[in-house]
Amino acid sequence: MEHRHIITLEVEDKPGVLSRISTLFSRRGFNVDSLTVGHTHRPGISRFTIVVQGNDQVVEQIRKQSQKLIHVLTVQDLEQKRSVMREFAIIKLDYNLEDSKEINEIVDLYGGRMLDSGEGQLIVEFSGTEAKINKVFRKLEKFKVLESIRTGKIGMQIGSL
Amino acid sequence: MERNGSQIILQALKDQGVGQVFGYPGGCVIPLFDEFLNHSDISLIRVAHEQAAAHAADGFARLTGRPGVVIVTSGPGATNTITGIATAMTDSIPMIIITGQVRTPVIGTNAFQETNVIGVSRPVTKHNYLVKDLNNLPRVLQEAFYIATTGRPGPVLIDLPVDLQSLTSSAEFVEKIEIPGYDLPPKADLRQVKKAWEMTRMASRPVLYIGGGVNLAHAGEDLLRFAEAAEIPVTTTLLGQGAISEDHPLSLGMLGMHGTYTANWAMHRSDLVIAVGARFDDRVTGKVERFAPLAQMIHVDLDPSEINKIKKVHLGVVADAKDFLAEIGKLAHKVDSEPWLEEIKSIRQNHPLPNYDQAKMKVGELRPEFVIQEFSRHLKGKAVVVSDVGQHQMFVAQHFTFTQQRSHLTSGGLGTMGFALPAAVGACFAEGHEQVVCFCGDGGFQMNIQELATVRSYNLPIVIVVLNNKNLGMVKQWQDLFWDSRYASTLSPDAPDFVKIAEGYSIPGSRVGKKEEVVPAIERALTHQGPILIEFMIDPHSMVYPMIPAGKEFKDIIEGA
Repeated sequence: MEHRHIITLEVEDKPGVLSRISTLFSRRGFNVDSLTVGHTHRPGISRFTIVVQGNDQVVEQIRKQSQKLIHVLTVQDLEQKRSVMREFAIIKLDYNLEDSKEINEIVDLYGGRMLDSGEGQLIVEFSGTEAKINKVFRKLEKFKVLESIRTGKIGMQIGSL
Repeated sequence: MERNGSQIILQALKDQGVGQVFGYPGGCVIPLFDEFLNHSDISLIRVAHEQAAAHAADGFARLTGRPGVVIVTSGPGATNTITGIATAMTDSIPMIIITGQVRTPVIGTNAFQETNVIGVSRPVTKHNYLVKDLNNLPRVLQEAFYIATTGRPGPVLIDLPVDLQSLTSSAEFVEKIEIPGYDLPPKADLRQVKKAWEMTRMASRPVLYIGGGVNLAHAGEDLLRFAEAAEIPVTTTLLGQGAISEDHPLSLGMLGMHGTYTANWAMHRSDLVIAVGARFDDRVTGKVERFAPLAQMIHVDLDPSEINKIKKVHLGVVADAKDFLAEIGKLAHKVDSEPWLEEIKSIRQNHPLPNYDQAKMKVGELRPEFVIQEFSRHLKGKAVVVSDVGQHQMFVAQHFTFTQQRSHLTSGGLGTMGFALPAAVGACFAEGHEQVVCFCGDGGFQMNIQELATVRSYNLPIVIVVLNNKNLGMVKQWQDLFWDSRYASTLSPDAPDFVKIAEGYSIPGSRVGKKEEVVPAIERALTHQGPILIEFMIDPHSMVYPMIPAGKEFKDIIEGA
């Protein structure tokens, strides 16, 4: 069965670890929807969140293979119903005065923040679930979006492991 | 104590009990090679091509179970080893490869003879290291040996810039190796072992399917104890050969594409397959859904990612093969397998391997099966047999009777032509080894033929057998069977005179073209001191049978002539 899987890995911060992990995923021809990596509260330990579409059995095998990598400490396929997920986006808009009210309403409604304004441009940030970020992008479609970037997902299981 | 990088390496090699290293010099390892001149207790075996250094280390490791060590220079020296490293990786062979690298400050600038060896070798190593701080070198060396030899073994590469080979450091070796993300396989869970035994006890047609993992674990005795106690027939993969003596009544021989009819029949009829240290390779299973279709399946492997990879199993046990076999052997007792063994016996009698004794061959016909059977008869299993890749490899697997663990050294998973001669070189450096016999085809032999120079310079007592059919037989066989005998690139009418080539390296050689000459030539070779080559001019149309074509199943087996 093909499903979307959200895999988190805790790894030692060592050279090559990103490349080893991405090599494993690409070898089976997986399309990685997103890959996010950053430090954790523990020095020397980073955490990956990888979103892939794939056959459940193959994903399970890759999960086991990732666990074999020397610098990988833990690997988890998150149960989506029992986890929290967030994405983050920064969007640059071209604007004029008559748009500003409506843009401000969207920012307020979706809990965004204005990061910069001036020279006919605005930069706004949003964070939230993938569905919410998708909605924000749809709402802003009617304005002129100049640039945008969204992170991949980061996620965590609820309750203890 | 202040030591330079080269001295640290030599110390680590000695601490690990390494007696010899296989290598080839070059600009980025001059300081390290120089250091070997200060140590008489560790030898540096200079081969003629870096690929051969890796295969030699591999051959040594396959025979002894101890890691082979390779030292080569940067750039082309390092990339030349990649095929050898991949060969070892695929078959889980412990190996340490030290590659020179350009000076630290110029790494990444496309300096002379620079390659990103870490990047190139990543997919074919169990782990690899680029050492940029000499203080890490002692720990890295210890970790490399530890990782290469524990769990599922494999090659570990260390890339060491040439400047660090002469710089000094007072860094010491660590007391305890700590690698937080690296777990060793657990001891066999006794409840699972018990369950496995219960399943075995209830089965009426059990088969043990034994892979290279059993040879790697030196678990032949434990296998024998279990198989004999419960009277379970045993089939092995190519890499599992010798784990049980093939003249044992419970041995069914090899299974798979060119396995025996009996072994494949038994798998097809079995109601319980116990796979130990095997990985359901496509050359074993054919069409996976029809592989052992009636059987419940127990899979024992120390690598959890192998379990359920190809075939969903009823019981997966993550454990070392030796540990599992020893534990289940304690529970085992005779089960009622008499009818099953009787059935197998009659199948075996009715479906023997194609046999070519001298009388059966026509005048002027020389069959490779016959040559190998004669070697087997003369050596009585007391040999280290190294085979290359292709038809002759399958003929060796079928017609040589392996009676000892780790006595067939061959590139199984990767199927690397050119493996045999350098691997035979490596095997000669194992203490107290038996007669080394190296079987090659005329194709593969030419892929590392330069190693005749190494054989000569160290006077290695290898009997080199070239089975010359003047074509690339295995591919030609597929062309004959599935491609309408259209011989695209597989005929080699101009194959060289291998006897003359051997003579060029001062190695005595002879050519055998008639069946009557086979036995005297073998007898001569086996009493000869030092290296010797015999070229057998075999039937160019020999086919390896039986054969279950790729992706097919037992009912599609071609039994052959």
